[in-house]
Amino acid sequence: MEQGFSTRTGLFKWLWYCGLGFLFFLIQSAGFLPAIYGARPNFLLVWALLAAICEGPFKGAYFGLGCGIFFDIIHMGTAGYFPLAMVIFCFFTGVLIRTVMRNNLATALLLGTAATVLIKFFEWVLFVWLAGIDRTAFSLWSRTLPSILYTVLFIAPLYWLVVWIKTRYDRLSD
Amino acid sequence: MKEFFKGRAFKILVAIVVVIAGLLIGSAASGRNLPLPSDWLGNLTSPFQNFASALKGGFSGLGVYFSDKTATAAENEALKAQVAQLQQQLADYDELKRENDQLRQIVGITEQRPELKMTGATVISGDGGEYYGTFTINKGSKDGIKEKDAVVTTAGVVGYVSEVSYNHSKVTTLLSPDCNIGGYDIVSGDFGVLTGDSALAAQGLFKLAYLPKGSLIAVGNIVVTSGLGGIFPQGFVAGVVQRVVADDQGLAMDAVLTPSADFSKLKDVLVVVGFNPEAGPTNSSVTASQNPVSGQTSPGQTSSGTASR
Repeated sequence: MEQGFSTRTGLFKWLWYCGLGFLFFLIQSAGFLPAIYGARPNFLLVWALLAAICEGPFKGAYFGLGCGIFFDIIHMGTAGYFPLAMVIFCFFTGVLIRTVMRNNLATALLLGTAATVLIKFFEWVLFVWLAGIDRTAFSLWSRTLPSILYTVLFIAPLYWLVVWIKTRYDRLSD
Repeated sequence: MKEFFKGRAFKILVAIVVVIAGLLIGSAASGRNLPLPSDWLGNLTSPFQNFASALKGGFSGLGVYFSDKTATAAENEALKAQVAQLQQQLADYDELKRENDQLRQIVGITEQRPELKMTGATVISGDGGEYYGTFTINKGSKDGIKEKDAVVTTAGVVGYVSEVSYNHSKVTTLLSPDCNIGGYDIVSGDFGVLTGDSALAAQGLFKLAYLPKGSLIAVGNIVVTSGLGGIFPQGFVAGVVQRVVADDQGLAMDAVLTPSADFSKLKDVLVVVGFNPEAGPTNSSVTASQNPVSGQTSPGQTSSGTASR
């Protein structure tokens, strides 16, 4: 059963999620991490997916929506692909965890990697391939793929961080 | 699983997805970005982004500092090694230059005095403030140097080798009372003994002692070595007469001389390792050039001679 926002601990928990998400966004945008072949990790994407894995499909979807909108607005001034993708993938990731899979590091890695690959791939399809930009294959290999790999590297540590927050506040609410 | 798709929450979510998709399609179709309140969100987040960027700059600077420091340290070591190498090259150059100058001096004197066999040496330590002016040179028995070998420069007599070791030797100069070299005034022809004493040595002077009482030696005359005794080669300029005084007993005269060689600035000297005592300068260029007044040559001079000692 998903914990509601009405409880105080629940509110603090989601404040933690939002605060850390914002912190990861700053780390991501300020360039603390070195660029590998011009690619940087997308923390918000992973953070929202992991929150969906741990907190359920609906809260995860809303959180993913918020992360996507925030990311899009800050970077592009539009609300578009990322909010849509985050809503869909966070929801279905949460559904899978609640129904056929268990919430552990292995499933987090599996679902997080799959979702990252699909989101990044469809981004490439929509904004590079269908947009008719030159050298689409080069963009896929030199930008999209390194970005996917770089992002996937952080699934495990971020998963443990989400689990720690959830466990701590769930224990407090009990 | 079906329960997830039946509730009101799912329907709300679907509505949100539809709206977003519509906006996305609309912006794609119109070719323009949709006007969204990015300004206020940007204003809200920019201070944090500025802080994060500044923090990142600080960390980068720290990294650059350490990497630069490491690189600078490595460059420093490399430059130190290069400086040491260049200093060694400079020292080698100085050594070669000095040796060249010595050889030039030897060649110059040898041309005038072919009967002399000489080797160059460098002063490696001074007398530490002694008035008598002894010093050490960097040549010894391995270089053919023996005791009582004459030590000269192109300017004139310096002294003689008083102690010999394997690779260095001690030289006693004309200022020392231990020095007793035969000399004479090329003008008057009066013979005496070149020696020093403590009082004169303090002034950087020495004397030609045991001159006859009626000596005609005069101020300004040049005194050279006589070669009497066969130990010290003849014809080397010792000094210039500064004054003539009576000796302590009043039985003879002493001529106080200014040495022709500047002992305070000695760096390179020539050691006469062999000469023919019976031979003198092949020409009078050494003495005559030092005495523009008389132009006389030294006694005992022969037309030619070879080094036989």
